Amino acid sequence: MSKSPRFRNVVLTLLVVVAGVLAGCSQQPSADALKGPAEEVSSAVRAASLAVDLRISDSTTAAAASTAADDMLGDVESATKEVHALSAQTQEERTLRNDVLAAFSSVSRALLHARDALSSSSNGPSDGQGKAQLSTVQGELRAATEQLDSLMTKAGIQ
Amino acid sequence: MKRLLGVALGILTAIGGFVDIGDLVTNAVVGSRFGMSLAWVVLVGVVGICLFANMSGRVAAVSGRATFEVIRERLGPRAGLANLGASFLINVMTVTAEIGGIALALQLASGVAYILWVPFALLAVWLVVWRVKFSIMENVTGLVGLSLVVFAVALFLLKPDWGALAGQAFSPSVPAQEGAGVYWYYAIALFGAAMTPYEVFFFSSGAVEERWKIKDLAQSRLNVLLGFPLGGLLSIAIAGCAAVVLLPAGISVTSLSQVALPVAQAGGQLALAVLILGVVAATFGAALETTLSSGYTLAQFFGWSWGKFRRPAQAARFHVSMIVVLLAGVAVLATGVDPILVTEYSVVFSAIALPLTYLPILIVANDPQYMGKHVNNRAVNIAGVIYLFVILVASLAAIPLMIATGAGA
Repeated sequence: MSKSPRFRNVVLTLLVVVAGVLAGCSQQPSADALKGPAEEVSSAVRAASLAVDLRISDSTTAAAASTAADDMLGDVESATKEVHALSAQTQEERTLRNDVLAAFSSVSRALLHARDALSSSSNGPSDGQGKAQLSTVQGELRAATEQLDSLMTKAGIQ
Repeated sequence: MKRLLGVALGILTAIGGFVDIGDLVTNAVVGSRFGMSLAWVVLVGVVGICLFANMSGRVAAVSGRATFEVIRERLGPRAGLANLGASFLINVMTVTAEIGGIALALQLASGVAYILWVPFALLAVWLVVWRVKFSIMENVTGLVGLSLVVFAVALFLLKPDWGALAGQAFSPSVPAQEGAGVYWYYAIALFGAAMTPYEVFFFSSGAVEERWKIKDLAQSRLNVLLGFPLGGLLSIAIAGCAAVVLLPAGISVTSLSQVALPVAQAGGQLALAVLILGVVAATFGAALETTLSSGYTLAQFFGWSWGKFRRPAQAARFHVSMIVVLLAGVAVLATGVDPILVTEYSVVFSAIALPLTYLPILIVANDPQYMGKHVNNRAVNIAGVIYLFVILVASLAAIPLMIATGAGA
């Protein structure tokens, strides 16, 4: 019984040390710290692109595809917040973080357009105007994917 | 003939009722990140749940009392409280995840934000718990939940390279882009999803609700030994669909809408409609089971009158506790927390709490005072002890792995 307070103190100290180490690990926007958010955004834009493809081929509904685009937008928002929380100390780190945020912003814009186009495509992709709109947002999504991919390659993130 | 139909119905509902939001999400996440290399965990989990569900069903049929009630009496209030604390918290988390799952599936069908569906999901679950007969509730959700077979059909329609999938499943390895820690973290999550504690409490309390006797043991064994493994195959099909479509496309699953993409690609809007129906039924059925399990465990610990076979007025505290649990789940969802995140944490916390659930079951199933000549045989005890060791290792490793991997990020 007498050991229990001491044991609790040791456990608490260990937890504080682990939390401190973990909190201190990801403060700088190095390629490692950016890897998680960048991969999350890369996955999100690819998923939205697949949803648009499926909508163009009439394999999915407007509701399911726009829900996917909306969910992906949420993922990009959370990844953007994560990158914003990183504090850049050198000019190089600042540039890398700004480039990543710019790429995220392009993805975010493309996803917003995709969500709007998918929501308004309830008449079905056979409607010519709807199909053209979906093809346009598909192009935008692919361009945003390429921009992000090339940045990730350049920064050694993937 | 009637008996045969009863057996078939039992097996079908066991298959349909096996998959819940935890299985859906975890298998899809794992398939999209690790391919089929964690399929072995589903197998280990299915054997485990068969072993312990069968044991707790036998305790209920022989003693005429639910497992939790016997644990409280046999091991005393302190051990019972540890068991209650662990399983009740996991139950509340799982109720939250399942109600979120119903709402997310309805969003997928309608495009209306999931948060607006949450009150309807709550009301529907409560109404069924309050009004609908146990057997109807179990059979309808289980049978409609069979719609999730669409994952297996979709996997065939996708025409995958079966050899490559089998290769990943039979010689598992950690993919180059993932760390070993993340691999083992998801192995534990998948194990926790397959062996969720509420399943055994629901199974044993359900046996009392349906007034099982010793003569029903053969049928219950068949339900478990055929239904659960076939349900496990459904889980593997979910991972397979994600492995075939999402993994090569560089898509990691973070939402239910992504889980539906491979099915839509394979079978179009019809398959998507069947999938949504299946997800609603599976999550709705699991929400009923977890809500009831919460009521069962509380009532059985405190000695309250319980059971759907009694009128609500005769089991008032049992029904009030379920309403409170449902409201707690909805309150958590109302904060805007992502239901998928709740699901991911609930399966890992399930794994952490597993020893507190399964050790007492093993002890009670070996007590001749309750079980008479139906105590565990030697082979079941050896398997039980091996599983307890695996469960203990998974439970101890879960939190360090969660911290080290940033919850599998």
